[in-house]
Amino acid sequence: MRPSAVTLVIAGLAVAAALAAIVPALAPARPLSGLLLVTILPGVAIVRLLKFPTSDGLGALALGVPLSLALAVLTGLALNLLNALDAAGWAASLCALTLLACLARRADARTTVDQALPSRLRPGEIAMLLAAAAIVAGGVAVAREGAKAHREFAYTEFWMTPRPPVDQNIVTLGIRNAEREPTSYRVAIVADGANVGRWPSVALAPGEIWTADISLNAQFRRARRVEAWLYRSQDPDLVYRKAWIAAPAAKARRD
Amino acid sequence: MSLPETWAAPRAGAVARLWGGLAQLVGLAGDVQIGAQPARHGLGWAPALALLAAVCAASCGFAANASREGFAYAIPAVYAACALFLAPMAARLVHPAASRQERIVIVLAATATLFAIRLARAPLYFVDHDEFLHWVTTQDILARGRLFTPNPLLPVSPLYPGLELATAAVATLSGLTVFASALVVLAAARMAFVAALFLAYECITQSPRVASIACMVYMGSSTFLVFDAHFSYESLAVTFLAAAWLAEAAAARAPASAPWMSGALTLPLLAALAVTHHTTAAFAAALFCAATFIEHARGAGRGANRRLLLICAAAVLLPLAWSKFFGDPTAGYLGPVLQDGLREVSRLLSFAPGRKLFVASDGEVAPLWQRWTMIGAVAALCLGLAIGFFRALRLRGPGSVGWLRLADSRLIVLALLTLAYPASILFRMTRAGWEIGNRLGSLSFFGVSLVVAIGVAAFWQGSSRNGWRAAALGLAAALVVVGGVISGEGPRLLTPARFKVEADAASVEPMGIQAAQWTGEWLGPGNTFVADRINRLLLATYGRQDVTTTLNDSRDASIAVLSQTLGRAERSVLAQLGVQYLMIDLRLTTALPVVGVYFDGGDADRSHAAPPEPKDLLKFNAEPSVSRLFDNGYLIVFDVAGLADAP
Repeated sequence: MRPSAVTLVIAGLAVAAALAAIVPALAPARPLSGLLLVTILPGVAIVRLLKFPTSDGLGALALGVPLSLALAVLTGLALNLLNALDAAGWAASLCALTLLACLARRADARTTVDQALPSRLRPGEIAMLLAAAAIVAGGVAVAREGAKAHREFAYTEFWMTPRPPVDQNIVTLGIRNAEREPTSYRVAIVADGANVGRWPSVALAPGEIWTADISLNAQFRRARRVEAWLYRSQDPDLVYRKAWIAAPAAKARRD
Repeated sequence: MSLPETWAAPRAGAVARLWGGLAQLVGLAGDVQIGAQPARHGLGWAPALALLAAVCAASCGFAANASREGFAYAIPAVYAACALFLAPMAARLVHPAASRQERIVIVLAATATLFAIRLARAPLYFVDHDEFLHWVTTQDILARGRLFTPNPLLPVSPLYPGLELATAAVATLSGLTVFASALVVLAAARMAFVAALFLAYECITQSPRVASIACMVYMGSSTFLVFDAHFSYESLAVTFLAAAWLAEAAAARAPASAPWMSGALTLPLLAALAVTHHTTAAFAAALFCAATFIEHARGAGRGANRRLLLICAAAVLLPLAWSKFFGDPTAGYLGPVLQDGLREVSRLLSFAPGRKLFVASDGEVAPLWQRWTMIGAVAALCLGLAIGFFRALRLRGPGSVGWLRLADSRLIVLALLTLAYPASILFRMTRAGWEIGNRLGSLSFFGVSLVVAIGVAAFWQGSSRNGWRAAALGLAAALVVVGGVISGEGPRLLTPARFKVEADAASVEPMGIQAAQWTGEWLGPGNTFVADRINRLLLATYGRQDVTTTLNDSRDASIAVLSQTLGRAERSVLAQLGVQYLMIDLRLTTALPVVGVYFDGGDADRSHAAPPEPKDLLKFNAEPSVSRLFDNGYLIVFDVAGLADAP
């Protein structure tokens, strides 16, 4: 028996979704592949195959979606055993499940008459439902923009770290301006109370980062502590931030 | 005639009438009719109600922003918006004139709207405490390409990787972030869950009207809006449970279908449930066992018995096998929670002082209107249960036997499940048992919602077409749902304008996230960190650090942070845990913790009378072997690896 149109569509979508997940050229369609292969297609195909008593439209949602998710979970356990928890593994296995179910289904025989939705929606009803979806999406978008714009804290990050991978002879100083306005900073390097280096003016726009490397020569390595002090130009006498490297700690790491 | 007889005789008629009236009221006498479904089709009022719901959801988006700006009306506005769309929807569902299609669209529209409100609450990233625990497991699956890697935040999470597997699958296939992938999985699961609930109730009662009302009442569960829709394993598990219940119930109503068919659908669902969430799997096992037992006791046919027995065996054996395979990891995790909860409940029942109702750990008191709404919701539900319980047991059906009709074993199981609801309220009145009560309540709601719906369809509204009566019941349903949301989230439904100390969602903000990301970028991943309750979530996820927890390490590192001096005990615990870095959050010094603890609730972290002093948290400044690597004015990262070798 020829497969029905619905079966063909399901099979076609499964193949397309699997290809979109692994073929770079199909990247624009990739976001849909996870939605289709993990949450919809395998379960719906199996529910239709079994011609279950509630395999109408609502039944496809109620049983098909959970079954898809369940099959994804069980497939994942199997892929873990095969060391194949990657895009190719997921795409191949979920697509194969869907195709097997589609192949096993002989014909699109009527089961229960689809009562979940009327066969025709009136234009006004369609318009209202679409408008509802758009309004909800708009409300969520408004919330997203509001959350992005909300910043309670305005601050400056200051750090002094051994450069990764650990190299005890070089440390990196860094400043990140997370204030609400452009800020000018001054950095002083202090070793056991003595000024041994400085950057007199570092101007950063909001969001901008500045870094500089300091080579810890012998003088620094003899110091108990090498400190970096950060000042803001609007308050030149107040140490705004402090960071330091303790020489014994560097030694311990080296050992 | 003796005095007792003369005394009794004139009253016999009055007493009998009184008892008869009471029996009628609670459904012990009289016929139980829930009315036939009208033959009409069409969506009726559903599109207009969906549009109304959408406008209310959009207003909640604005309210979420208003909350971030500090406007006090924001949270009441959300609750008002919920009531505004839920009341007319519920009124329409209660009315007998609505068609089946209309009911389905209304129920799904309500579900989608509530999910959109949940999304507006946290539209950019995970904010709830438990979401981070499962996010770590998902990240590990994506990064390492394998399962069962340790998770210090929740050691049991990698052992029940169902939700994380589904999310990792979406993320891997689609290239979406974990957050976006989680939303895809949760949205699909949420819609499917309610659809399955509707069809299951409809199968059991043969009434789409009862099914739709029950779905609406179910939304009054305290966990429906947020907890069961957030990124935690029970959110997916309840979907598997509902679908398995539906598959079994539908097969029972269609005996002509091949018996293996329900097994082909139910078994994968139960298998996935067994590897997704331990508690829900145990609950499913209990439900199916109860249904099997009652079906057998009612003398059901051999075919039906065999099918149920197979499903029951799978529901019991699959989670047991999974649990035993991993050495029963839940005992050490669930056992103490249950013990503490039971202890507090027994204290409550003996009138010993305990948790103050409607008062959070930080002393914040729920507004009066919220308290009355919660009380009203519970009262409405209890009234609904009183009216619906015996009616549910006496509902007429093809298998009805005797006066106590007992039409369907599943209906009996769900009706008996309502007895857990009062217990859940008791647990929620304690501090240690609140979590148990919250989960027990949501599970008992499978029965509560159906019994209340039967009461509405058979008594409160019945077959009356009176719109005012339906409107009043719609308001009551809205009260139940809003009361449920308040009891779950209360005054903390939305993100507040100001950071709060150890307040879960109200403590997750961009500066803490940025600091955690800094550690991953500049210190590399996988370092052992000590941090407070919120910052360690951020470090484990955004920073990909290994954080210490009492749950995982059995040692309480908080003493090293909260103590006034860095003595031998403090150094010893840091050394034994192999701690490399501390993240100190100076904001802890500004207030008491909202959830009651700054860290894990160890000996140094209980019953705080006052916040810690800044000098205590900054004692590491004076330690010669400690480096201070990062400072943003609020959060400081100390390198304490050198302490182990310091004299």
